[in-house]
Amino acid sequence: MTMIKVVIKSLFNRKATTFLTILSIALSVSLLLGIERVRSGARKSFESTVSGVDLIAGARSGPVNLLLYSVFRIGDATNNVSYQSYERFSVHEKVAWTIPISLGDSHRGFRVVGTNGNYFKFYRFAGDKKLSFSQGKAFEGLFDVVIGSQIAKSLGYSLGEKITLSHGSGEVSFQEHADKPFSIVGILDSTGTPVDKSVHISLEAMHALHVDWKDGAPPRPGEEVSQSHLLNMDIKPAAITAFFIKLKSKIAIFNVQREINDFREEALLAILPGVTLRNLWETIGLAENALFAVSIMVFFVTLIGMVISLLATMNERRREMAILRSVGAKKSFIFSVLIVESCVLTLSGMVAGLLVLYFGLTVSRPVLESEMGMTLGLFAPTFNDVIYLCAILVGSVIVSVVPAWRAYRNSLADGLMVKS
Amino acid sequence: MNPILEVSRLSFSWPSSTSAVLDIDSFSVAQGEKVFLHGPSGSGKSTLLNLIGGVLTPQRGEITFNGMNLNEMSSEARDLVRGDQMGFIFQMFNLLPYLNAVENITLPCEFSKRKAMRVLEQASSLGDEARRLLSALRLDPHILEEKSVTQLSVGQQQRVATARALIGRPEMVIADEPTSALDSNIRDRFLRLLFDECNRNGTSLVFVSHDLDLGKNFDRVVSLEEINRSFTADTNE
Repeated sequence: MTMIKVVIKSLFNRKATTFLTILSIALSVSLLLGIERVRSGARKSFESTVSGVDLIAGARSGPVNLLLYSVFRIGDATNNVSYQSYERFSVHEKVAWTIPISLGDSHRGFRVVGTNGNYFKFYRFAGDKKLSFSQGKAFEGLFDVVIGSQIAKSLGYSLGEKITLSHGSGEVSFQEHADKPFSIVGILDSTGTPVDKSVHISLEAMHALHVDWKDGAPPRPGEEVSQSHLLNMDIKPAAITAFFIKLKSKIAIFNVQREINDFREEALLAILPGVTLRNLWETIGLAENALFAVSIMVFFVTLIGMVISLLATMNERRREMAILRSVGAKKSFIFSVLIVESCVLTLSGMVAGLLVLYFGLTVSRPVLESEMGMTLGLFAPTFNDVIYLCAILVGSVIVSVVPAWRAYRNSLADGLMVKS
Repeated sequence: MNPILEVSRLSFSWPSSTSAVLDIDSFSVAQGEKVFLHGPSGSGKSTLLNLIGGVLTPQRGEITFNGMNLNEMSSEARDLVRGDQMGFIFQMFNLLPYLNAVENITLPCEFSKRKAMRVLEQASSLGDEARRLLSALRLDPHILEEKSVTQLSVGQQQRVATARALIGRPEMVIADEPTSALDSNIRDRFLRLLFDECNRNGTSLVFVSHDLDLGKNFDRVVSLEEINRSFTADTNE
């Protein structure tokens, strides 16, 4: 009791240094825990880009490659999957539903995804969230298009607007499907996934755009099929790029995977998205480790800063220690004063740091969520956080042995009076 | 009268040096006695006070305080004797700047249950006793409680320190040049108040100063130069 009273009043007497020390501890605590939140938030939102899908199938290539183009819409497929093969598995007895994905075109740098109604019905992200429309509805007509939230925002599109698609995935394309404009019938809510940056059309529309193309080259003059003509044609897609599979029972995952991988009519590959996502994260997760290392270093610098601030006051405080000794304080009391002092500083710093953290999270959460699709938890400190906080406290006690020992030695040399 | 403090055949030297700074054959203080210890700087008086306070231990000889041989006790036990039965006043900067006057005065009771109990035998609270002591030392407790102790004059600070040394009726008060920073008229009044309070409780007083003029008020004047054989030896060489 005496100890706490003496320590707190003494710290309060040195307001400026105490405030700065607590501030630096607070900042490093909030940095450390904040980075931890961002780390786990980034990982979680990465891993929840697609959920509720048991298998992803595409033309045979590498698993990461398949994941990148089918889920993240990065890069291109080496080959297509024939529509017959897709149909074969979409009606498979063990399959609950499938979502076809057909890539290849773009709109002003945003990827165009050819799919069907299942996409809006079954696609799940971040656990069990469904796609929802902020405006409009799913496509019905051949030249209907549904755009992701970020496209609507950055290009300022609204319902009913006409857009044209380009061949290929570059930002600037020389091959425009200018003769076949699409009208926007739906705008999706923000998901924080690549869906936000996708232009969705039907598989039929994807096929229709290329009906008059030959061997990957645009139609020669005079051979174009007009839009009005297309509307009256019976269009059946010939190929897709990949498809997501949901099974009726998870037990069948490996059976169906083997079945797809061993499919004789076409070279296909099926992957478990969760496993591949985790493998992919481990390769790109180096950055998070670097971030973590930096925050650990910041923490050490803070501890050193605290020791320096305690040591700096040590000479002025020799008299204080001598007075305490003269009224009956034991040698161990002098030693403990400094230990308790650093505990009080660290604990106050932690409380302030948590306040800074939660304030920062509250402020940055909406921005991070809508701009980067990162959901940061605004929840109570996790088990990990508690471990970090304990480590910080233990660390501060360990380093405060230095000033405590110094005070102890000084006090032994000074005795009851400081020679002035 | 029984001696409260007895120093016999004492010799002390710092670990780093071979020659003793203190070599005292005999020095004692009776209960209730007021001893003026005269010593110029360098005569080993702060070493002697640290030895009596139990912060240092001699290489040779004995220090007996209130029947207890300090040399045979652990350092924690000596800390307890100092906290329970002694009170100290120093030259200046006696007070903890972050405590107010009353908190400074009651500080010894935080370290000594005995002092706290002895206060509560007579007063209703520690704060009341602190305020009583302040009034006895002619300080207005109400004014002091509103001020930080650093805003007090040196004379006021020394009286607050005296109240701290006296609280809980210790067996002995040890004052190290408490008046050297005071003007002469304040100094005499300060001494009178200190004596009154010591007399009230039968507290022994060891008053160290280089100012021989003050000695006339005391029961006995002892010259540290004379009793410390290593000091005279040093100067004769």
